[in-house]
Amino acid sequence: MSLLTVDALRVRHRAVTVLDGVSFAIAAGESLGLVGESGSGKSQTALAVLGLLPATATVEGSIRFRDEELRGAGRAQLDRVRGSRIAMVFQDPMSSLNPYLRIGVQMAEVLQQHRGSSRAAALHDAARLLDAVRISDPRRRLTQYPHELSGGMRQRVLIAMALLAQPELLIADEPTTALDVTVQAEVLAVLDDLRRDLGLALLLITHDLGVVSGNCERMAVMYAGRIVEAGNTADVLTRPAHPYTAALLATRPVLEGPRPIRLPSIAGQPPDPARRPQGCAFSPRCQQVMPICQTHAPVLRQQRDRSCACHVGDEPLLPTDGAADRNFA
Amino acid sequence: MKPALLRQPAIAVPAAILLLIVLLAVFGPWLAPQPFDAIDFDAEWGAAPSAAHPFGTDDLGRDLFARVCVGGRLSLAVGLVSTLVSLAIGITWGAVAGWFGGRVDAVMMRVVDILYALPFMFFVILLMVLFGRHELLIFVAIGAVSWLDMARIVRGQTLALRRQPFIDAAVVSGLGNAAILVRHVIPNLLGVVIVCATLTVPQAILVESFLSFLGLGIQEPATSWGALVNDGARAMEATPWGLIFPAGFLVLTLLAFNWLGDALRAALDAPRR
Repeated sequence: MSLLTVDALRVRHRAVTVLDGVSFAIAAGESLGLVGESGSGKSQTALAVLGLLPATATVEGSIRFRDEELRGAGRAQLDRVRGSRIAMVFQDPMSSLNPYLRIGVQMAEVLQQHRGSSRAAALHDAARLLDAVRISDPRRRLTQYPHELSGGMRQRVLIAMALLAQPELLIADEPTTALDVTVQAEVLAVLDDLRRDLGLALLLITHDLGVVSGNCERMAVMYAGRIVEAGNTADVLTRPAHPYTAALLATRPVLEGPRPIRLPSIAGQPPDPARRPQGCAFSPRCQQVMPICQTHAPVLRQQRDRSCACHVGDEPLLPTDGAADRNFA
Repeated sequence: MKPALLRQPAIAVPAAILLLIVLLAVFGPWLAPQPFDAIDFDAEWGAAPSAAHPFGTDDLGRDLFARVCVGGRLSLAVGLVSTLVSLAIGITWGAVAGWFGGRVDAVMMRVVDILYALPFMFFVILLMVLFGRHELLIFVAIGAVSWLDMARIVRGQTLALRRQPFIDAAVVSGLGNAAILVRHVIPNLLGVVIVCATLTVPQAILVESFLSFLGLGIQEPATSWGALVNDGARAMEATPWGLIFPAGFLVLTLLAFNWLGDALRAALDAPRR
């Protein structure tokens, strides 16, 4: 039984389709990395799950959390789930804390809201979690304002805050992008430890393949609003099935051997969401492009624990209807 | 207010000036040689400042010091009341409109637009006709329009704040609308609210002066700074002190409020990084 099941999620902002049939599932305690370049729809997926998309967006498909349908849920229903059962850590630790409130007050607020705890009890729990994310002298930190902490500390405060109400699922949207590499490693280590200790499911959104390989059991690669490949992290990274994943992996700098003059890159640009090519969205940049790629979009098909949306290597097969799309990543 | 704030000269000096002016308005009339509406038949009409009448007398022989103090009571009260009204209604109205957006916003801001479009003098005269001439009406009339600017500014700031990640973070932590507005939105509006409030005080004082000038505001023998300035201006060649003292207090008060507002905004704006 999956904790979170996203099925054929389609998000449109007026005429622009940003998510075009995204399906994946996360089991309790599992970690899934969602990888893709800017504009591929990673963050839109997270925002859709949490009901944070602007009211003008059209959302279709299904977002089930345990037995609850979250798509189209009302504010009251979302407020019961958000913060207490699904929590989120945002990308920018600098602006994700209210500059006017002491750390302790902001953290306590979550528990006072969801558990009806007293201020004192909430502060006690907040201190305990600050300790868990390895922040020194937690009691004193609670009385400080956000601007008195460093970026790495603030991101850990945000993680502690997200975990306060003991959620079952944590969504982290590029949690370390704003931090430098050493602090990034520290924050990721804290996140990983806590995840194991608390049996938390994690949806980690990142563009950094290194972050995924170190922190996620499974990964899904997004391109132009679709999931193009998904599977066990180690498998996908060592034996990519989709040309896009393979091309991404090829762009990583090598640390050994002769250094190339330029880092390899994928030729061309990701498609404009308002004018996606017919057929496979990656076809204009794909090295292995075939005639069918330009006329028919490949469906995501599952083979054992790997799924991939590509015509290459498949027996030429015309997509039928949406039914085959339902294979979960 | 935190004591640390008062240690900053830019805040302490205007605050002290305002405190002195308020004390003078409240207790000054008891120090004056005669009540504000009594005529000193021994003094010349329009006498120059002297030991007997520190600010001189007006053209009826009334003590100007007493009149400036009493006039200050009304002017300061008008400034205070209209600011309280603009804080209470303006912040609530603007924050709710900005936060909920959509139709709520459209309806609420159209109400503000309509009140803006209503000619102010027409509104005041209408009130006078309906309820008769009463001191209270000055407060009602000024209060009714003073919150419009505040509501617009607060709404604009709320719209900008809604896009801040920490507001999204508060939303995903499951806080309700009321909690987010009170805890996260309104405190972050403090900077603009203070500036706007310190601009409201002088504006209200000036509007009261204007109403009194037209004979719609305060009536003799009661007085305000605006009414005193008006009287003094008519005889300023012969008895300049009749203009200088009330105008001096008016200007000093407005200046102190602006100064204080600016310093408070600088001091209270939270460092973001």
